[in-house]
Amino acid sequence: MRRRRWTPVVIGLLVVACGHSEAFDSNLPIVGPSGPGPDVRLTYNPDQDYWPTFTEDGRGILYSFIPVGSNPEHRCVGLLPAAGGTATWQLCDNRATQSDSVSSFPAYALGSDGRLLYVEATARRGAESTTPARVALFLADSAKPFNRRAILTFPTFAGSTPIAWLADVAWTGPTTFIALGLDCSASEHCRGCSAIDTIFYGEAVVRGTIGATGATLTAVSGTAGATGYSLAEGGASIAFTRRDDRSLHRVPSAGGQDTVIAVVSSTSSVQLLGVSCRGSICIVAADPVTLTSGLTTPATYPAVRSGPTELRAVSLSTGLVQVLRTTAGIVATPQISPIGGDVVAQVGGGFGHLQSVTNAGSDLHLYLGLVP
Amino acid sequence: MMHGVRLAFIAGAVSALPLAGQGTGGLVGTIIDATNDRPVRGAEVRVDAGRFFTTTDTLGTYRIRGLPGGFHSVSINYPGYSPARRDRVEIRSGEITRADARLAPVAVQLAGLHAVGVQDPVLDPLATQTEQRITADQIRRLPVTSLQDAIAMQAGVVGESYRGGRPGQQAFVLDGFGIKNQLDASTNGVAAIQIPPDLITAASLVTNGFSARYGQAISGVVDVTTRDGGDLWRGRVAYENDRPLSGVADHGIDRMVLQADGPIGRKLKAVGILDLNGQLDGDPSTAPAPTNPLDPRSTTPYPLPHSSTETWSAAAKLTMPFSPRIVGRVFGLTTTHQAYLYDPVYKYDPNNGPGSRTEGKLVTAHLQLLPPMQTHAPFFGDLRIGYFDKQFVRGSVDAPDYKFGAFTMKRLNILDEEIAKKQDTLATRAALADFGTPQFASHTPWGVPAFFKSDAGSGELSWNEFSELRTQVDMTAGLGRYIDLYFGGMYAAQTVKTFQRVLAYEPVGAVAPTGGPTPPTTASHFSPAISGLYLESQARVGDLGFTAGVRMDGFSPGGANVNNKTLASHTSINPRAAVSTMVAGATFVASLGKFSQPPDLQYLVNSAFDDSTRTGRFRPGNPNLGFESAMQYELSVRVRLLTGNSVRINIYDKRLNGLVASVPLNANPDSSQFVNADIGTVTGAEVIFEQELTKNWGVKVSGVIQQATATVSNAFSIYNQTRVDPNTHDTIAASRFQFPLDYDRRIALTAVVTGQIDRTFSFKPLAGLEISAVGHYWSGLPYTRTSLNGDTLVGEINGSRLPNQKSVDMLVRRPIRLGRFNGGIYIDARNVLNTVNQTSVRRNTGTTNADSMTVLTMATAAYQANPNPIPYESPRYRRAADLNGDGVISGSTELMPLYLAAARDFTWPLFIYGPPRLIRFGVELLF
Repeated sequence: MRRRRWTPVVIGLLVVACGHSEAFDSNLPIVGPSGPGPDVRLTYNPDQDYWPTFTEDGRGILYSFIPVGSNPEHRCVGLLPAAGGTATWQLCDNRATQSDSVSSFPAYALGSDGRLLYVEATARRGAESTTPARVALFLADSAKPFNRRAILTFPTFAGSTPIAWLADVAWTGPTTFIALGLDCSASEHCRGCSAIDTIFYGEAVVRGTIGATGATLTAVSGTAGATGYSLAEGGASIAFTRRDDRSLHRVPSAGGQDTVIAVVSSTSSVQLLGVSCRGSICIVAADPVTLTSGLTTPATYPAVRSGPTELRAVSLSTGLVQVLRTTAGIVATPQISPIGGDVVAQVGGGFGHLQSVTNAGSDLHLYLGLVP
Repeated sequence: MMHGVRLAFIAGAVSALPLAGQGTGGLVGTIIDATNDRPVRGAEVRVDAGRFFTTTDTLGTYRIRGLPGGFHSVSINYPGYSPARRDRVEIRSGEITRADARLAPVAVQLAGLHAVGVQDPVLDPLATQTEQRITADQIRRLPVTSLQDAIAMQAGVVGESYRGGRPGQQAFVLDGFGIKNQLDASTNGVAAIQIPPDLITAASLVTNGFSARYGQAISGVVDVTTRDGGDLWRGRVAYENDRPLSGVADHGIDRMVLQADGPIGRKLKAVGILDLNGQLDGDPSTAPAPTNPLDPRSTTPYPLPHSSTETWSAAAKLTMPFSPRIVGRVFGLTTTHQAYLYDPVYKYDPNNGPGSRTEGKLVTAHLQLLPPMQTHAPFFGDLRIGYFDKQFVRGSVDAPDYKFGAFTMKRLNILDEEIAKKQDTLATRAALADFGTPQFASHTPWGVPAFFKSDAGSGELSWNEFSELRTQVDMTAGLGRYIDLYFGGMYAAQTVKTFQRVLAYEPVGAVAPTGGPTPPTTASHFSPAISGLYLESQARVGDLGFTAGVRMDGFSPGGANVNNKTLASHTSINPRAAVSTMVAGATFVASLGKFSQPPDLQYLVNSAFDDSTRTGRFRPGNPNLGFESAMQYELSVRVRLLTGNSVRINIYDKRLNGLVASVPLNANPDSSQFVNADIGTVTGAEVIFEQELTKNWGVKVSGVIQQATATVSNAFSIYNQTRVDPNTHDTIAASRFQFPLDYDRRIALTAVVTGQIDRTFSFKPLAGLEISAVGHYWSGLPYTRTSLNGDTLVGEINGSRLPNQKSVDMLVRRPIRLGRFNGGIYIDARNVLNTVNQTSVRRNTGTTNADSMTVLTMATAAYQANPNPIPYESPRYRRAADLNGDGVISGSTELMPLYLAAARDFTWPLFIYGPPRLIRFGVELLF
């Protein structure tokens, strides 16, 4: 009888020995999109947020930004939820070993499996305005972005096309990517100007292949001088823009003779500062900007003129152009979500891939359902 | 009465066995003629059928020394008288067992061997040392889960401080073999091994008058005797946890014990034990919950986040008799203790906090020469050889992957541990590639970049190894019936390796985040040696007992190139003597002795820190440090008031000299130099009342009143030696100012109550219930007030005191029977009353919490360092702080409240408070 009486107690003790209480939940507040409605302001950074691009799975928006108070320190990459809200990840090269350098990230692509492809440009601290000391393309896991492999260093060549800079890189396969190949320079754009901005010169849309020894680039023929591009028509073609050219161009995806799809704006003082396509619809940023000569010839420095800043839709099948949004400042580098009709764009600040600027804030805006 | 006194002295002459733990004990007794109460002279006393043999003297007394611990048969024969015999007389290691007999002529009815028991330790006049003992049975009955718990119940103990000494001033003796972490005992404990309580037969704390046999200690000796394997296989399996509790009462405790011992074949006897202990809340605290509801600890003050400990101990012992006089023992013990340490800086980052691992290994071989049969002048002794190794590593760890409770079942991965073991100071001048740069955490409730870090560890990498091969010979020679001579020696060849790198994500010399250059990597590899020779004798002359001995200790730092300095060997002569007598039923012992110990070896070599500028970033070692010593005087009185109870009064005075101290050479804190500088005095009295178990109930109450003071050459220019100022050439007189030592606990009271409800008790669930309780009351320890920024002393050194502390621990056990097995279920509760004990203090305010000025100063400095606005999309953005709703937290109006809240969070007291109520439920099976 005694055994029967006490056994349940012991068994009970063992039964409850199944788990301890959870320890410590930080219970942090989660901040979602900043507001309802078709247009959502994604960022409020007093400094610049620019060059947005969706992740491969469309669930996030990668973008460059200058952390507040860091000028002239690092430029970083952030990752926002696709609908907006608190950034969930960022890439800033503030490692102690890099304390003598500043860095920026002009191109980045995040695969749905976490593969991270990015370009990092570094300059010696105090010499930020000159040509970067090192520009390289890296492959890494986004969980440990500095455990990385340098697969290409710049300047390099895509065939015979010199490439010093990449932008708008995007995965096209497990080991292939596409990007905008550029040249760049940094100098005063007027005698006595304090601001020294980086001017980009479109070279070509390039395709890349990652192999065991690194990456190789191939220029897409017919895209020479491209300053913005987008795969279109399910990847069958490439739509692109050029400096001081108000037309939207197209070449077959494998390259070839370019054709003009449409003249996006009839106004002479307009520059096209970015394009993004989905199916047969492209969104183009059309801004009242002219190029001035500054200290160089030909005229290369963008200057803002009066006029509307617009996101326009261009039909690849009909060439029809339609104004979708007028924005409150320079709008550039629109990107259509790969999984919906939302469009993210940079508003204010720099001039897409024509020129970066200092001392001018820009933010990201999300235009919900802009593309049917 | 005189008759009784003589008997006691005869017994005491045998008790000259120096301390316990040698594996042998003694047997004494008096043989009386039952018909006339006169002593029987010439009676034969045989142990184990004559293996040990002696005869009684004219007083009818006998004694046999050097009996192996265990059960023996004792028979007494005298021609014409009926023999007396008793089997299973237990001889305990280091104790004297008494076996008296009243013999009667053959014609008279047999009287038998009527009394067998342990020699009265209270009145034993030649037990000159001040010894407090706890046995295996008491350990099992009391709320004790470690040897430290058991020792902490003794009078005069404050943690690892004994009689006002600092930690590390004690030695550890395991089965007669000396063990000490000579590297960093003062900061990391006296030994890296943890002895499972189930392995212990008895543990003693000896705080004065200890035998000349023991060196390397000036405050006390912790003497542990482990069990030998028995004649039958037996064992214990136990599991205890606090899983039935939840929320703040669940500290994630799991402990498992498996112990077994028994014979292997005909001669071998073995003991094996495995003791696993895990605790998710590894350093629990009664710290109050934060008042800010956004602090995650406001609703769940504990367990603390990511603060776990895991300890694995395994031991085995083999006993092998080689011949009737020679017994061999091999013993091995390994302990791994690893901890994921809570660091307030990483409160909000569960993945980058610091961790540590301490591994201790001990292997000993013991050859025991037992005394010969049939001699009054026996000669016996022990040869011991042992290897002790201790490794410690601390640094950034991968967050533990818990498998069961706090058990990870594998070693913590400490970043770049292998690099540390290579001790390459050149290669580690550059930043270590595996170390990231910690950033201010963004995922705090406050968001602002201040105080809390994340993304990477602190860059600390510290490793050291201390190993020692020790040979120890201890011999006993009986010189006639009333004089014993002890002599022997030891030699230990040691190896020390250290490595320290801080801020490892920075190259050496880079400007550290806390200001100043990143200190260089430090490493050392040298081979010190310690040695000791001793000679001691105990003798009886009339009503007096004398103990006198001398010990010579040697210490050589080893290696001529430690810090490129010429090194000297050091010797220390340590005489010790005691005289004892019994007067009016009380035993009086007066003793004096000099004790010395080599310095912690960590103070011989350079080390690097990432610490505040007040204590420096780099500490040069001094390889020429010599012995620390103490001269101790003590007067003890021990008396039995009534049968079963006793009172001991010890009055002592201890003069400390040459203690290692850090002395600055100039204003630069990095210039501090270690020297043998401190002197001090500890004066105190202990009163210990003990009521032994009577009708299943017993009580022990001890009280200590003491004062421990020192004069020191220290950072604040109080010199103990007259010196000439190097600038003014003025003679500066030595200071006579004395201040309390850090462990100057003025009053300590301890009460231990233990008992058992009778098994025939009518209410069956309570029948046989074992209950014990331990209560403590301590007056507060001293501390020194400082200025607000901590760089200037305010008031006298150790001129302030912490509040008093108290606690009550309990153990309730109900024996049960499960099938064929005996066992029990128990509840072990510590700090039953959940008393909030304050164990430290913010020295700059004298309070537990930072005052408002401190918080404001910290917050303002942090805001000024990072006044940048926080935009909406930033992980640092907190909507409630965006008062104007513009999507940006900016300006002092919006940012400062966050910085203030962060400062309050960071300064919220945690380890200023002692542990809360801890309850464990246990089940055990005995087989």
